[in-house]
Amino acid sequence: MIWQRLKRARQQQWTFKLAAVYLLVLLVCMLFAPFLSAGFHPNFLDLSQTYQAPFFFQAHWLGTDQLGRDVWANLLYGCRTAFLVAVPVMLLALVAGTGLGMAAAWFGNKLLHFRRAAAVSLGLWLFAVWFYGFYRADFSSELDQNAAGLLRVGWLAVLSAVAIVLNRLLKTLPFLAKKVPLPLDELLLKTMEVLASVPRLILVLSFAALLSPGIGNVVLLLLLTYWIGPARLARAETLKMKQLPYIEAAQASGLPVWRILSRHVLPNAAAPLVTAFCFGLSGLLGLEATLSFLGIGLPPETPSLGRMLAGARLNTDAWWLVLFPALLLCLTILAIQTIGQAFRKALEVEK
Amino acid sequence: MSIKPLLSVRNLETQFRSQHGFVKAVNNISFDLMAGETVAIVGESGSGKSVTSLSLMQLINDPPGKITGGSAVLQSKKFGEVDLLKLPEKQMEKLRGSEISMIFQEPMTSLNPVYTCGRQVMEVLQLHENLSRKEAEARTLALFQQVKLPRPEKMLKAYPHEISGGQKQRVMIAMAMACEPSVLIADEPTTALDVTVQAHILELLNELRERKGTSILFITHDLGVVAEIADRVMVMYKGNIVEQGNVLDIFTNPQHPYTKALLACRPKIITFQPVLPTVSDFMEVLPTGEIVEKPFVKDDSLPGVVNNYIDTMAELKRKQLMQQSTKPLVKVDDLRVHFPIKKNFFGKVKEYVRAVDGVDFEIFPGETVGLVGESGCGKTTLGRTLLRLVEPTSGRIIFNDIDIAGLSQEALRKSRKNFQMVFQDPYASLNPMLTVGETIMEPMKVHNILKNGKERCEKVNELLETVGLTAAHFDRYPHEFSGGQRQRISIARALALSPKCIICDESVSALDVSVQAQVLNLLNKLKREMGITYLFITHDLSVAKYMSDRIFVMNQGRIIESGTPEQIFNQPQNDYTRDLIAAIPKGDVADIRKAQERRKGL
Repeated sequence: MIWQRLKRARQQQWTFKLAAVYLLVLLVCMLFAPFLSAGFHPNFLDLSQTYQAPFFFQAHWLGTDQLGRDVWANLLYGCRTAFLVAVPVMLLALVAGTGLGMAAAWFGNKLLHFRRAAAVSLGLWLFAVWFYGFYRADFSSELDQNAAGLLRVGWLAVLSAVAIVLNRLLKTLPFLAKKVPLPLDELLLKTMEVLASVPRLILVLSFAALLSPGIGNVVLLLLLTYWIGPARLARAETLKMKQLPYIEAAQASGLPVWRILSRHVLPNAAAPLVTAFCFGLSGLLGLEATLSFLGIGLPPETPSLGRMLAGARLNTDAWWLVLFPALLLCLTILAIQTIGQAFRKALEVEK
Repeated sequence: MSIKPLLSVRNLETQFRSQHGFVKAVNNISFDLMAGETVAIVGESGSGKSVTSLSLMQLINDPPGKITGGSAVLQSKKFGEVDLLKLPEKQMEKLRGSEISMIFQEPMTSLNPVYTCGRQVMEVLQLHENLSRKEAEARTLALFQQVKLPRPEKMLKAYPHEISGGQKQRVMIAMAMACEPSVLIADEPTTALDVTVQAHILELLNELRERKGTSILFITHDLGVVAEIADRVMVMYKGNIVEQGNVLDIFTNPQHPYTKALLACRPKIITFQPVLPTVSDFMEVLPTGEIVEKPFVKDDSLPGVVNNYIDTMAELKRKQLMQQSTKPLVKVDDLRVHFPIKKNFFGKVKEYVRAVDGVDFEIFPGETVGLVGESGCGKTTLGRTLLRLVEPTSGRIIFNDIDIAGLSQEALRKSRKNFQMVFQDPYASLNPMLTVGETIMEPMKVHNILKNGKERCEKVNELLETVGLTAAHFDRYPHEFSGGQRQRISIARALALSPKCIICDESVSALDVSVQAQVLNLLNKLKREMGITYLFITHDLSVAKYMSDRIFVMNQGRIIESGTPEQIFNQPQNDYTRDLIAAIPKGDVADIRKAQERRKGL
């Protein structure tokens, strides 16, 4: 049904067609960047040719920046970086946020139960992992990487085993063995409120200071703030749907919870979630550029649109250092939004 | 000398733009409304009755709607003789609310929740009559007294959520009557209300009309209500007026087959019919749109008599069987459901709503138990608690010697196949993202009924045919079906697990009478063929009487009276039951005469 409707959208709207073609071309360009960059590496410095203005019949046909790096090559690789950050962050955020949001809305504060013993052991385990894994992580600095990795996995296994044994022991105590309701919804809401109360950029800036620069860490960092959007949306949609007779009918037919959530709730929440995904993706492309512009998060040798924009600060005459990356960002975000709209329409149910 | 009609509508035509071109919602209709007269427009959903009224008010949204022809001449106090359809917006604004006003169906949403009731009525007065605040307040108070709102001074300052549905409708009427309009359009004003409240509102409208000489255009789907209030009736079908005339004439001597069908397919309180007639028994719509009357065979033919006889025998046999089996299928023991509404500082609950407050009853296999009561009496909560969609506060629900109220979540899930539910709203009870086939098949898959997908598919097709659909509907999505068809799909889904008991929660309340008759017939057929036990929850006493072997009357969380339909209707023991029965508009000739005399008396 969805594919048929998308097909209809493709036939009807030229904007959809244009956006799809644009994104496809962009994808091909990013995949084959090494072949398309006219022999220039994005980090190849040519100090004899700094601030070359763009001209079509020359080697650097889109010009160069303050260190003589080729703009075209940087655009291609920069775009790659932006997507390498934005897509995994948004995908993971969507999966984690949707799962948490739906679970919180469905189970509320009363349906799930846990033993106090389990909470105590889990808390101790988390503390230990944090203490040895992050706070006192320097004990393995003298070893080489493989050995350090192994040691960490070993530690994790030992700590987990201790926690499990501890749980077994604590369960024998009457106070700790008691089952209490898990306020899942409350927990999730409060966590989201705390995270949302700190401005996103400040949160990212302060955490970035603690972590070593690299795409992996940036992805983790951004994930920390980006799962909130989909979680809120999924929670609201699930709460709304929980009241509807078809969900009650599914319950009355004896469907297991996961099946109700995946077959009945999720497809009906898909339209707003896709919209959130597209908005998030657009925001993340911009945020990656912002972070690189400020020189945070990603190592300086990573090609990025933000890094190029930063180059324009040193020479305000170099309009090409602003125009091309900005244009690329704008067009890409516009295309993503257009595609998102078409998807939303295809997923929405006719009334 | 003939008196000029107050409102004279000629050849009104309203179209709506859709994907497949223009659709005529109202097709060339003409009627007159005399001063001080009540004219009722009767029709089912999609007949164009609401569009007619909105067209007169020029409240049709363009696009998609457009008034494409006709005239509606009003003898206006301000402007003299004017055509409502051609009046410029500025002048129309002056007419709306002052000379023509409207009452809507849903009192819950037609008042603005952020203003007090008094303010909303005062606003109309200040706008149209240039009154000062003080004067407007005094007038509003007088109006509230006229519409018989209790404690009118308090009502001035009350917000809409603080008062009941019937009171809200009274506020709406006060607002509509504020400037003493010459025409009052009432669009299903009592449909969302309980029968006892409905009776009061109808009485109020009658009284106001007599006192102020207002003409009322009363739009409804309920012929019973028409009998109570109208002088003349117009029956609409697919945008056309198929018949119009005096109330008594329409009820005693209907000419058009559609009118005959409408009158016949409502379950009667007095007579008993084994099968309800439906519209298709009376007429046939040719592909050209022409309506042809079918000779209605009233079981006089031989097969009719034989079928009737077989039905009656099956019915008797079933009843006998029911009495023999002494062991109840379901036994409910002191069931209570309380919802917390107020908590103190420490989170301890201080106040409860006692939705179900100590209910005991038994349901025997093969019988239909009707659970009737007005909104808020706890009947829906009771039904949902039996399925444990709502957790009971205390009490036992014993089914097959197992206490359902005490089952763990997993055991409950497994036991769910014994009970199924058919919901009220046919538009929300099917998942819009699943095909009909998937919807019906899913419960079987989960409970591992039948061996494989192929067998289940066959079973689904079989079920679809049982409920009067075809196997071709398997791959369609719910939005392609009408309300009645969707309710059939819901029934097929409930049947998929071969349950012992089906709870019907207002399952036919949202359907048109003719469709309602079809669904009721289907439910009865299933009962005869499969021996299903029903708990039939409804606010409609005539439907309950038609369907049930026993009726429970519920009020304020308790079952206050129970017995066979004959007992309940002929010798009601409880005052509440008596009020309930008296309030039903029956649509008898005697009642119409009485209503007319009452109006003359005013």
